[in-house]
Amino acid sequence: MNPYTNLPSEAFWKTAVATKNMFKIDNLWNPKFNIRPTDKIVTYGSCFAQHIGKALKERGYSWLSTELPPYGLSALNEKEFNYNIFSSRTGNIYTTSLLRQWIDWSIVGGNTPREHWENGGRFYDPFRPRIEPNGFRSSEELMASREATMGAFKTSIIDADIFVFTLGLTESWFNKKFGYEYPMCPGTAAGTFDKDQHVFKNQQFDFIINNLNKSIDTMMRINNKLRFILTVSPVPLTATMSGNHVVTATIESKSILRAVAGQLSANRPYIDYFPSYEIINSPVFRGSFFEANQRSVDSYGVDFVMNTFFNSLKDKFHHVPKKKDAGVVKYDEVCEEELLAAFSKN
Amino acid sequence: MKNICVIGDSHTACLKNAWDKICYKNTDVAVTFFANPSDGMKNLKAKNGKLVATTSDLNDVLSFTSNGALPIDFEDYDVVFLYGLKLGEYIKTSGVFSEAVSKQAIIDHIHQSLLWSVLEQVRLVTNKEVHVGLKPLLSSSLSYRNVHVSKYLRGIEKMNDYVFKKKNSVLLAQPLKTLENGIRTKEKFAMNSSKFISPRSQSRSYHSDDDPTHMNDKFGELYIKQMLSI
Repeated sequence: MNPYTNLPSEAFWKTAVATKNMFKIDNLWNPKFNIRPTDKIVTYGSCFAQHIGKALKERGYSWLSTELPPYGLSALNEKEFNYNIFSSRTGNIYTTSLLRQWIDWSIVGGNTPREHWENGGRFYDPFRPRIEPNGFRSSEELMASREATMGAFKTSIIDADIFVFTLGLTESWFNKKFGYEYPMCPGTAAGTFDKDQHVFKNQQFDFIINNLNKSIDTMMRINNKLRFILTVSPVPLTATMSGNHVVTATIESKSILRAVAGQLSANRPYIDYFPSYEIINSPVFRGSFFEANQRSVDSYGVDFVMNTFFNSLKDKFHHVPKKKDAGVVKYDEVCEEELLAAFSKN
Repeated sequence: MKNICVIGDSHTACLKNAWDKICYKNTDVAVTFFANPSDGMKNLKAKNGKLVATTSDLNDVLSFTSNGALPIDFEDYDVVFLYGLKLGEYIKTSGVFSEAVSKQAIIDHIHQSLLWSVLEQVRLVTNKEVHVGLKPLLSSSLSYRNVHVSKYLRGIEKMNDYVFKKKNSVLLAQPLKTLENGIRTKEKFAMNSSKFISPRSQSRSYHSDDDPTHMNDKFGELYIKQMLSI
């Protein structure tokens, strides 16, 4: 007898993987805590997080949106104007430092930058550069919108039962003088790049985990019933400033993010990790969930990830919410980072 | 003789009833009603320069309401009026919205309606100016805070500026005498409202008095008089 004798079959490569059809690989996630259909769930993070929010709605879970569109707006234009993509209109939050920035502005109450970008008489928010398809009418309108989102972001944290955050990137851009972070390099989605003002940072483990720890601590102070689910985006980098090959840079980034998520999940009982990254990227699935560009996750992959999520909850906690009609609108995720591909020379 | 063509849904019933009462005073005007309840007008399509009913049900109902005036040939009419057809007033949501998304929301509100679908079919066969009326504001016995009527009229103006003017059409407000608190139709106009008479029923019946959506012949009379002044 030894400690391995009584381990379940999924603990062994032979029984969990080698002798199975890859699409029958299961028990990938053992949820730490239940998510009831009535639990209010908020989602934020990188592009892939959008699939989680959408799937929650479709499967009858209570996905919380605290910044609703105006009456009459069509489903297609809701997406154009970034309503109901994340739980409030923050746009993509790619890094843990961006998450902490939103929390500092919205909850702690730090001064928000007055910076705005102007182009063709329209005004663009550096912290949500594509939140409106053609920018804002004025800087005042831009600031009012950002303030409204900060309020909605805070409300979403106060009201939520579950906070789902998808870690996306380690590569980031900061304002050299003032220290705040941009979700996109200035000059890509909007704005103008200035090497004297804008500095690249490829974030390392300690920086990332400290920001995520502080973010979670602050959120817990205003809502101590919150539980967290961390995921790592399985989508490779569109581009890298690291000086390395994009494949190498991708693996390094994702490895760091995965280690951060794993450590937090191991150390706090109210934080769980869901393995969407592994499902899409593990060699056992042979890259079968990627589109031809070997970067975009296809709809079968998204379904496989989300089926794993919901089936794991059902298997452990035995509840099946009613599936809602998803409606006829099918759309691609809103992903500013994809824009970087436009700058490649080919 | 001024010929008016009215295309609408069940809300048209009060206009038709009112017209029947006052038509003898307006012998130089002829009004033809093409009306079908609910969303049946989605089957009214442009064909050979006219609008035709593409289902037998719609054909039967429109033949009945118009006394056999199908297909709809806009060469026969001086004034074209679309009424109701699932388009209500734009309801401004509370919240902070950009000018761009507010405008888009009003546009989408109109574009997603049956009235817009019918107007697009009309535009395939004629460039004549089209007048448009929303389904009536709801009536209510509850008291609401007063909203100045200018807010309602600003909403009408925006719908015209953003959408209807671009289609050579004009949206009309319902008669201001019918409004209460600037946002509701006076309750007295919702009492004893007639139901739509179809070829099958052919007898008059009434909505219940707690139906806040359909209006009575007195409402219809005020509306028709406004329409006659076009």
